[in-house]
Amino acid sequence: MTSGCGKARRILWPDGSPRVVTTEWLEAERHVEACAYCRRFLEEMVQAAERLRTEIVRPAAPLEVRDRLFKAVAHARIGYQRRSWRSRGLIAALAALTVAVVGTWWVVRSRGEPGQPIAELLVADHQRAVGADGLRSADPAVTTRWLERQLDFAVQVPTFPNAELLGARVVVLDGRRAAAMQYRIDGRLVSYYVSPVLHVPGSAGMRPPSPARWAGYQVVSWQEPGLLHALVGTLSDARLEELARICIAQMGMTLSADDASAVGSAPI
Amino acid sequence: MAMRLSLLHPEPELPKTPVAHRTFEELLSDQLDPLYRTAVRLSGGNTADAEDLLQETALRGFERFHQLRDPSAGKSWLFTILTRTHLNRLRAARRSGEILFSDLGEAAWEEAMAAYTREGKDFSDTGVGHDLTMALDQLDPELRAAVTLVDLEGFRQREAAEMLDIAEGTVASRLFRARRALRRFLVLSGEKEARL
Repeated sequence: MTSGCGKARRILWPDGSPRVVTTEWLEAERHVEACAYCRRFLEEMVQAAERLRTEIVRPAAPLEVRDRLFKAVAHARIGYQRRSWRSRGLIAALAALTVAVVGTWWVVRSRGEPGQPIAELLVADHQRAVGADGLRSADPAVTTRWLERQLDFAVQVPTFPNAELLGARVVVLDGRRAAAMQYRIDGRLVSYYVSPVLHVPGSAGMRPPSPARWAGYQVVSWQEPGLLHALVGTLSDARLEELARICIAQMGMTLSADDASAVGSAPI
Repeated sequence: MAMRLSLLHPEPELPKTPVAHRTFEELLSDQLDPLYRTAVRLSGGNTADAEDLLQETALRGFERFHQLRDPSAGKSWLFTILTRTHLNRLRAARRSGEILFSDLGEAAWEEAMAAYTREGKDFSDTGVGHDLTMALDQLDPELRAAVTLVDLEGFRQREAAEMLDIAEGTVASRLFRARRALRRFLVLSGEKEARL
């Protein structure tokens, strides 16, 4: 080893970025070409990085951590929206909304709902779903077959104009296995859920699409006998309702006026 | 409703397409696993501390999400918040009397590299199966942060320097010291094992 080893090693330190060739750099290269110790040193630094990359334990976030984190963010979002509204002088509107939300929540709870309101369940799952495991396929037929193998009810995977199907997952909603399909529509992620009927008031028959909102997300849900359908995302209510109508048309479902009047006002 | 079909072969998985993040939750969900494992390593393997660090990061990120101008920079933006939050905690803890870490100057770093001897073994010679993760968790937090961001998560040294708010050369010097310390650990634990 010579006195130039330290300097050459510093200049040629492997950092993976493009180099600007300078006189100093060329001198360092010449030094390394002639110095076996420096060549071994630089090789070993690369080996060390590679070994660390492959051998260090890389744990995934446990589900409960994921849940806690998204609940904390959801609460922060609600708090943020409240502060924002207040600053615009909409305290009265906030109070009315709070009464409505609490009232809805109370109605749902008082009718035997064991867990959270359904909109919250769906939104929480939609948030968790991004990047989660499941089938990644843009083919509706492939996705349909995959879901049919996982579930004990048939699911039709709808196709929407100007939308990209990303894949599907099986989720557990209120203790029931349900289908969750993911799309990118108008550049945003949208989840479409089909679940055996949850504890929704008036859940026995048909229910036309009705909007709800939770933690900054829009939820549009509708029902046919035995199955709840819901679209969740950050698209507008009107756009989600339009997508819901496309779903309904593709499934050949009809929602009679009687059914609609019977259950159309049921809160989600 | 759809007909039931039987399937003999598993479907091929399509590659994941890049996500245009529209909400903070989507960005967070995409980066959650890398953020979690980085938080675990920065916390020296203590998962309770890591969860706490992650939650603080998520809430800070949510509050500042409107400041993110370039959606494609979302990953490094979140990691910067995670790293800075960790460093702030570290500094706060040290004010109460822990030993301060000191970086090498350029001359001292050159000297240390020139003196680096292989002792007949290098990283590839040391036995596989030694607990490299445990050794990493025992390093100085500053060295561990450099290794975690660059070697484990694949950030460029320039990006890590910005996250850690230090010079790029300091990141390189910390990487060298970390790898040297880890090699020592592997050599020593290999010798210990051979004696048993």
